[in-house]
Amino acid sequence: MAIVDDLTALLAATPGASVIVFADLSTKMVLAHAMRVRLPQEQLDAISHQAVASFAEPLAEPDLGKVNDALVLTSVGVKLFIRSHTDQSDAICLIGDHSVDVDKAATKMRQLLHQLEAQP
Amino acid sequence: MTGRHPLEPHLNVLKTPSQFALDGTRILATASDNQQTAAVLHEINQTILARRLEFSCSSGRTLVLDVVGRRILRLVDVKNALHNLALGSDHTKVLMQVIQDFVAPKTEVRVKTAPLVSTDGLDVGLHIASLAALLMVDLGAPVPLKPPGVLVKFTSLLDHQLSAWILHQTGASDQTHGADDTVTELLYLITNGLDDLVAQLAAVEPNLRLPTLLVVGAKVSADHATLLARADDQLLVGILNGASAKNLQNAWTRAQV
Repeated sequence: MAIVDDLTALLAATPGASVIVFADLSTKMVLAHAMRVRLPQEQLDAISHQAVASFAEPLAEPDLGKVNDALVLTSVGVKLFIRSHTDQSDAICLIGDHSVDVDKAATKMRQLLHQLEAQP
Repeated sequence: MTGRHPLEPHLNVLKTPSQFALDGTRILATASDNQQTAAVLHEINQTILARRLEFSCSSGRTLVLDVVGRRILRLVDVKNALHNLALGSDHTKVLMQVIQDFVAPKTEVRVKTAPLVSTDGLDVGLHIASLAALLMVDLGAPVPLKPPGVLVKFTSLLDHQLSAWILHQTGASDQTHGADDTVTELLYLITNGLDDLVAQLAAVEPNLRLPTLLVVGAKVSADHATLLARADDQLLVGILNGASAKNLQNAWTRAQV
């Protein structure tokens, strides 16, 4: 199954999510995506930049513990960034509204990351 | 440093929001209010029993007045000739100047009250109404403290799931809650990296008008996650202890209402 298919399946299984991307945080590039509403490339790029900023210091200071998840809530919606434990440049990012079940979505995103890492 | 007073949740439920500091003082006006003078006069106007009112301003100024029955009997802590000045109707302009010197815009004003032991040797005092007329303050109009902002409501709604936090606002003293060592850690973060924290939130959500919350941790709903939020002109940094993402979402959306 191609990664785009995995992302599309995850998007379909996550009510409230509008965009899910697989990003390389070291290059800040979106490598694959699935979306309900088409976004221009610059907005896709912005997602990976925001993920990098979320995992950055000073908030993600090493003294405050290891950071692999980041959740952003605004008055208009939710952004969820899940980073791989083994390769910290791999991340799955989700953009959605407040109806997203963040706990469930985070679990599924983590599972997909494991699955992708297990692939040869 | 301030924190949540045990009475605060009850006062909020009663729609009479008040802010208390842990040192027993009460916040009459915050830095974002522009009715500092009116707040001081209202406090005096509401004092019926004999009390010593110790006003303090976040600029560092203090004003201590002995008050009873809506009358100011004595200026206590002003230096030189005005020190311990027993007041009468002749002193209206003097006291007006003292109050104007004490109150500065964009500052937090607090008050601490204590019973007045004796009024011996004091005159009838200066009636607050004459002072209010000179300062053009309508004592009949309520001067409510601004209702709690998004971040104050958010901390209240999360309650024990936030083990420690600091609410920072330029021009006001930081409000803190939690164990001393954790608060110290968070204070270090604010003191040494305030600009970086603001920039981090701006990078995560570039629309600066949007109240924004960022939570990072090993897992979003882990036992130990760190949060950073902005709303109005305040910044919140805190440590979450076992809050599920659902609880965070609920508290965040309810705090915006």
